[in-house]
Amino acid sequence: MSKSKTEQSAIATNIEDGVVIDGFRMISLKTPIEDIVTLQGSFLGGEVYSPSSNTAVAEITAEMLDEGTTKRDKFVISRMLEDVGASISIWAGKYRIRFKAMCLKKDVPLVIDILGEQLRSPAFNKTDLEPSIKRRIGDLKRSKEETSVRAMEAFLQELYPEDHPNYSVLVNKQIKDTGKVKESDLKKFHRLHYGLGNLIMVAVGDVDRSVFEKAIHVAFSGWGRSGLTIDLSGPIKAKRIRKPRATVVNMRDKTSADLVIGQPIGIDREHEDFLPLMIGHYILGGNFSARLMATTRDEEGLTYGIRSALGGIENGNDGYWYIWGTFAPELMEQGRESTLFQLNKWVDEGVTEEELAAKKTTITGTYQVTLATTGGLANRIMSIAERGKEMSYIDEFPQEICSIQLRKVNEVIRQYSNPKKLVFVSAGSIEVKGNQ
Amino acid sequence: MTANHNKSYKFIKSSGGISEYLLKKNGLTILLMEDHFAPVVTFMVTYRVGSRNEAVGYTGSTHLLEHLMFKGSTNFNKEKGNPIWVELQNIGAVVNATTWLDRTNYFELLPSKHLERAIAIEADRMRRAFLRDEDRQPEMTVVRNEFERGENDPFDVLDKNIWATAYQAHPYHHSTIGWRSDIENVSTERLREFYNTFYFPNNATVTIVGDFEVNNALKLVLNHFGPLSPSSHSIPEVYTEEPKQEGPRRFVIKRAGEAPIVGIAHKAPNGLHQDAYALQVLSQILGSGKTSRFYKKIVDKGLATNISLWNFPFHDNGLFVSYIFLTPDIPPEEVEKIILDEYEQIKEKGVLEEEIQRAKAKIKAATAFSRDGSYSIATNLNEAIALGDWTFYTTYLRRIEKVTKDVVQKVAQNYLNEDQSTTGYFIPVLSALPDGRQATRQVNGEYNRGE
Repeated sequence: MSKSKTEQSAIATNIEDGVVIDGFRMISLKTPIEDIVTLQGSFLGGEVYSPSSNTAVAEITAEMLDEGTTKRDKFVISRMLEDVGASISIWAGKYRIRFKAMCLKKDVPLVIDILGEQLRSPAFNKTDLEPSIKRRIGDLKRSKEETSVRAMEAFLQELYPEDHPNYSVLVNKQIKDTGKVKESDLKKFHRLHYGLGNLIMVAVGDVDRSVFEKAIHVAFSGWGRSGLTIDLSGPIKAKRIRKPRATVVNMRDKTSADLVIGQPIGIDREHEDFLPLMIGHYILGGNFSARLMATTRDEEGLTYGIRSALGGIENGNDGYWYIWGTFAPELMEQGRESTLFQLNKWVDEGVTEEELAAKKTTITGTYQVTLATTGGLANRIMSIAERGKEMSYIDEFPQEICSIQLRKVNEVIRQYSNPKKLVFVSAGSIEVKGNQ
Repeated sequence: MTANHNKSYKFIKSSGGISEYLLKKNGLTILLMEDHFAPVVTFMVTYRVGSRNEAVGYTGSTHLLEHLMFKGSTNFNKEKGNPIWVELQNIGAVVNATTWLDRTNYFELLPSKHLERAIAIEADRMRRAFLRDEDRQPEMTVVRNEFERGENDPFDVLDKNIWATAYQAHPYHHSTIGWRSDIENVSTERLREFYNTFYFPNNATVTIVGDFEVNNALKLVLNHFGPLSPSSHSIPEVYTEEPKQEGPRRFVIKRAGEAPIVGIAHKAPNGLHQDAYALQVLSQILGSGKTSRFYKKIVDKGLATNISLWNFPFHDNGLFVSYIFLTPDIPPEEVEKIILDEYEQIKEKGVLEEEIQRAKAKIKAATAFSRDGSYSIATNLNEAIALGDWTFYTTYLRRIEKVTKDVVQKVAQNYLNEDQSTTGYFIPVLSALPDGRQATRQVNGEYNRGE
């Protein structure tokens, strides 16, 4: 049987990683796929850096990068890209401005040229801003229809104070702030925060690194520096949950309701307890064969989907664990009881050696599967780079998972889960019973 | 093919690096494409049965049956300690199944050393699935919740109504999830009858893409699927045809929501029809990217947050649909007029050569990206199998290349006619979230265990 090319050597040894120009790091991986290149990148300037006076500025600044530059009209740029079937998308994440591009190998110089122009010289025209604001308000209003969005928003508001990065800004406030944004806000934000310094670009596929480097020099040399950093010194903490809290977000005309249960955990993904706790939650609700899907769905038929996971654990933030599931409103009570039964059993009795061994194989196998596309590889490489880890971690992660001990998993499950102080949120057309 | 098992197969053809074989004994079709980029393989079984094979009383059965197929078979089940999900997920497989109008597919994307396990499980459940009533009962409420989740979304409801209004006799009338009362009431016996009609090797295609070796794969397929008998009956054909539509159809859906949606559909030919390729190019010109006509006239003006042109190729005649997600307070009639005026413009004056070339470039790049990873290739083949010809995937670009601006104008004239149209509005009558934050009520202590 012929050996696959990626099996013959570790992935990290094929990765080229280096600073192309000061403040611009480029990581590339050439794979056997012909002709296509997947590109992604990021730099600081995301939502958390919006001024306190207006929470929408960072996101709209990023959205407007696609609306033309000081040199070229947005339709000219779009035509140049679409004529060769290429695409660039740019958006604001929690911390970082993110961009993705897909193109054929021959079009790499064109894509880098346009990307550089969009990032460096956006037009921020008033005539383009007004319809952008209308569209964003429309999207935000439409999100009021979504039970899952409303449930998670209320859950994060219960867990975190307003100035915590994990807090979810109220949708009505987002709408109000969006309506107030002026082009001068965007120009100022761009001038103050965009630039070289912490920019990372990853390219995977039919990559010729020298072509990239030449194009990056042309497009990005001379760009100013961004002074943004991530403040890890004294992050704001989650609220202290002293007693259980239940919130109902009542909505109209919804045939399925969402339930979120969870707690803050006080650690981020770099903490030594993170991976053992993550695998503990994977056993509880990480996939179809995990406990919650095997019981609440498969045996009892109460839900189409229920999962358990960790969130909000980036950049030193004290994250949270959550269980999320959907139920018909009339089955919500039963669904909650079933979920709590499994949660309590998991905390009280822990997980077994057999379960741990099975999920280790699941996670490492799935990991291998996710690295089988240019997009999957680019995602993983970007995540490793943003976390400040060595590229060798792409090959070491499976060993790290395999080294996790049962005793540790059960210890962290008990340490980070207190079934007597849970936060519950449900959203949908739900009759509220009991103590209102 | 050089090994001893070669006598069991008939080589049919190759196209685009994919080879087709027929397992002579039972009529199973096999598609193989080696790609050693990563130590991963996708194994997929496509059954040529979908919700087009259903009728009133058992709509949604294909999908409900697909769920029951995970509840165990003779050799893989809970009682034996090796249920299907556990057997596959514990080795790191991405596993699932999907049902649509023309087909049902089961797939595993997994480390290539475990290929045989996927083959063994799929072969076992092809003819030896349990399909027990005690499994159907809890699974019915699972599927009903899937239906309910869809009903939460105004777009989902609008889309169902577009198809239900446009198609009255043909089974594309009902969505794949089915009607709620059918999901709740269809019997296990009816599902078993469905299984015993359509789940046979001679009504299925096995697709293997990725890190495997052809001879070994054929040997494994023979070992596991070879013992299965073909159906003793011929697979029933759908003979219902949609009568000619003789005038425009309209409807309005009113419920709580935040912003209107408009859907404008026109009857379109089946996916293998030569006109379908020109309609694909036309949909790119109208609705793909910032350069598209609808983006410039609607989205860029702030009249809509998004547009989505939907022109998926199906086995039977389908729909060419423009969905417009309006910004709040924009009258649907205003945007409907822009869409229809643009259709008339194209019917009268045609499109530009540069629009044709741009559309082709986008399709060409998208096709290249569709080869990124074994799952992507297999899933594209899956849809081509559903159409009735897997080489649709491998010859698609060549056929797109032949489309000219004259042909695009002609198909616009032939298909975008008022009498063949169905127009639906979603109109929000109340906010889905009354007064935002005020709708949130604290219920302290209610859910506390032991208190």
